[in-house]
Amino acid sequence: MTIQIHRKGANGFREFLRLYRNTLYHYLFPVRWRVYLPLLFLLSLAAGLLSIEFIGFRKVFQYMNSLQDLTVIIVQFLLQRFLGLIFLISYSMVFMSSIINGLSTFFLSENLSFLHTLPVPRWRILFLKFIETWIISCYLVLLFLACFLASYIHTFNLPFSRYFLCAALLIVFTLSPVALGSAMVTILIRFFPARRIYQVVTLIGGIFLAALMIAVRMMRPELLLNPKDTDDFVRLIKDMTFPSLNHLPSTWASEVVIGGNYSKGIFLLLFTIGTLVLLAIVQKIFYQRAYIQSQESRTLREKPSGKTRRTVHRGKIASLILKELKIFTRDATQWSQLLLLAALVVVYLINIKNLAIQMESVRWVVSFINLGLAGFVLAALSVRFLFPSVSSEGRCFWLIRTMPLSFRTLLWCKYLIYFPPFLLFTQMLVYFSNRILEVPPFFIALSMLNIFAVSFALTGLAIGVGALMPNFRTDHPSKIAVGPGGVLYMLISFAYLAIMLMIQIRPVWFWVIERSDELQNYLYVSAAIILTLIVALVPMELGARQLAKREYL
Amino acid sequence: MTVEAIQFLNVTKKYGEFAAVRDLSLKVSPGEIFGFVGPNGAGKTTTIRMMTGLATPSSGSLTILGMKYRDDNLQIKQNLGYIPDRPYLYEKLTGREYLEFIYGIYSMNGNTEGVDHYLSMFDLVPWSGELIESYSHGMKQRLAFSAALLHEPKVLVVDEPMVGLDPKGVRLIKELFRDLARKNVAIFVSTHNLEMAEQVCHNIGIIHEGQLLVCDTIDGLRKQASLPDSRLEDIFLRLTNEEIR
Repeated sequence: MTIQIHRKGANGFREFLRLYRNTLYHYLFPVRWRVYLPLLFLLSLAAGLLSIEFIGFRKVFQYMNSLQDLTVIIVQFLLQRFLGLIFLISYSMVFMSSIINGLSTFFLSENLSFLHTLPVPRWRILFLKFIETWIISCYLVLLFLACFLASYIHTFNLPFSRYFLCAALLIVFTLSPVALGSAMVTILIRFFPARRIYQVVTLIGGIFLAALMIAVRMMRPELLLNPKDTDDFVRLIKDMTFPSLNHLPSTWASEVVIGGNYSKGIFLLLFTIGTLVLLAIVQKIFYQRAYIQSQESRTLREKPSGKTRRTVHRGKIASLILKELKIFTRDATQWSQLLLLAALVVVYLINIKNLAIQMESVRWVVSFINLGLAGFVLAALSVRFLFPSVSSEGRCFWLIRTMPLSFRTLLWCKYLIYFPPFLLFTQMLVYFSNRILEVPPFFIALSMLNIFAVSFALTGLAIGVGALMPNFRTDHPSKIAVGPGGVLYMLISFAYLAIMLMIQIRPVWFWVIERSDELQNYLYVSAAIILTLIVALVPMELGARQLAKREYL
Repeated sequence: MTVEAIQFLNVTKKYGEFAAVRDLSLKVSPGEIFGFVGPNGAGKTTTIRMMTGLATPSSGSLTILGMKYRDDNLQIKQNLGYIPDRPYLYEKLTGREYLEFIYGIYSMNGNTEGVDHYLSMFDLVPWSGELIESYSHGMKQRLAFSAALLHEPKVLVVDEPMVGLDPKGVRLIKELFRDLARKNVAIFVSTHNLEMAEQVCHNIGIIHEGQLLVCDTIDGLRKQASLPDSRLEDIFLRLTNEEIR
């Protein structure tokens, strides 16, 4: 008896591509209309940010263009340094990002075990995985650079063909860091456990981004928009640029953009081809073993010597809190987010310091507005950490639902866990920013009391709305945060912050500026307290009731 | 008067216009092992979800130990153990931490040896300090069993108990069911494993397209299907095929 071997499948690359196309289609055109709400919100936000970027860089380039007392060569040199810096930062970011994303797409992705069983040559799978890594790792940087270069070409009235040159340049420029990152992650996985690598790389990525945020802020890029004179501008550009090396892809890219230097473009192209060849060689040698290694490191390979210990008796609340803390601290992505949070605080305080306001009354006004800004920072943080806290129960929701545990207890336990660190964070933010602004102690105390109320309200609002509109199907907290519930939470918290500021203008004015007291002030304060209690408690209660009614499908 | 452990009375569950379970009436007494079998999509999981409080009946009455979910929600949950077919557990906890969490939530007093007892019974002691994310499906299933039994429930609801278990695990579960039944625990088992149902269950219900076709002992089912001395598999196919025709 003979066995017929089907060979047609080996050529079924089109079917393989169709699989990706269909997935993308269902992602872009979901059945439920409400998925479009956050998408529209994000698109509007992105359009707004890109417009600001375009206008901001245009202003810088216009200033450069108008420098009459500098020769064209010096202006070109300054431009090249400036563009080189932007390209260097972008290159590093794409490189770091591709290591983290490459780990998921090449090794941890759930669909890999299916894809590797298909009658498709491995190099084709890896090629598509590389494209996937490239898109995920650099779409944001590509958008930023495209807007930056469009602003440059538009300001200097360069020929239209330069747009096409820059578009090609951006593709060539961003391919090499992704190739290098993917090659590095393949080698790392071959020799170290995948989960450990993921934790370390995520942490390093967090440190890198946090350091970059602080470094960029300390360069004071806003001064470029309003320089005192030409010397000041030249000094700023020089201060911003590192002692750059001439043999870096970022330098080549800046030379292609500015002078249309094709020879440097060919350098860049050859370098990119070199990195792609390197990636192909690394994957040829290491990928198969590395993939097997990554799968094996997911399960237990040898019998560990589990030690027995006495069970500690804990109550419901202590058990819930302990569980939540353990899960939070064991998730490496949360650590990197915390690092970014720390960097955000530093940047925030630098911003306050850079204001350097002389007039006392203006400092007081800034201090008052600062309450709203600190509240805004808190809202942004809580949508990332607090709002997804109910959804993060994810597929384990069946367990919570079948336990002898009221949802009110569950939500208040989460409140107990998150409120103290968020309160401490906002108190420190407001205290230090007020110290920098040198406002009187009474005003500092008033501000801290105020931000206590804001923290109390926004914590309840975030957990409550998170329970009202949970998403148990997504694992990643940042995806949960950008859903319809997250958008709704942000809108409500903005409205709350605005109303709180408006209500308190009058009493603060009387107490701090006029130094007088009258009954009406207390009515305003009472209104603020009642509003805070409503914003904190009502969503929590509604959320608990909604969860109790919710069916597990 | 003896209170039934589980009692469905004319229960219907609808999702929109679609009735997943129709007019279901059945009883499971304390100490009884009840096997619930049916083809895919017959309504087994929906029935289980209603019993565990994960779904609410659209009409009819469901009582667990004489209590209704609407009135005695927490009291029912305190006395009910549930093992789902796909054991999604907290992956970032170790096996021991997971059981200690369950132990704390059920506020068990005194019986601090329970965690070690079940870890030992299900051969999980050597891995009890490892994160659940590194467990195989079978190990997760064994941990889910440990967690469901830790608070000594009076009613145990199990969805596909044998999925992912090795032969030793299967034998252990069969023995465990018999032992629990002797201790007056009511066990409701939904399964595709007809051999196991035949060996272990006192009564068996066959559900098809949301309706309970028959509910009897294995001998009673043989009579109803007019298939003396035949196995449950034949009875099941005869009854469900007749319905399909």
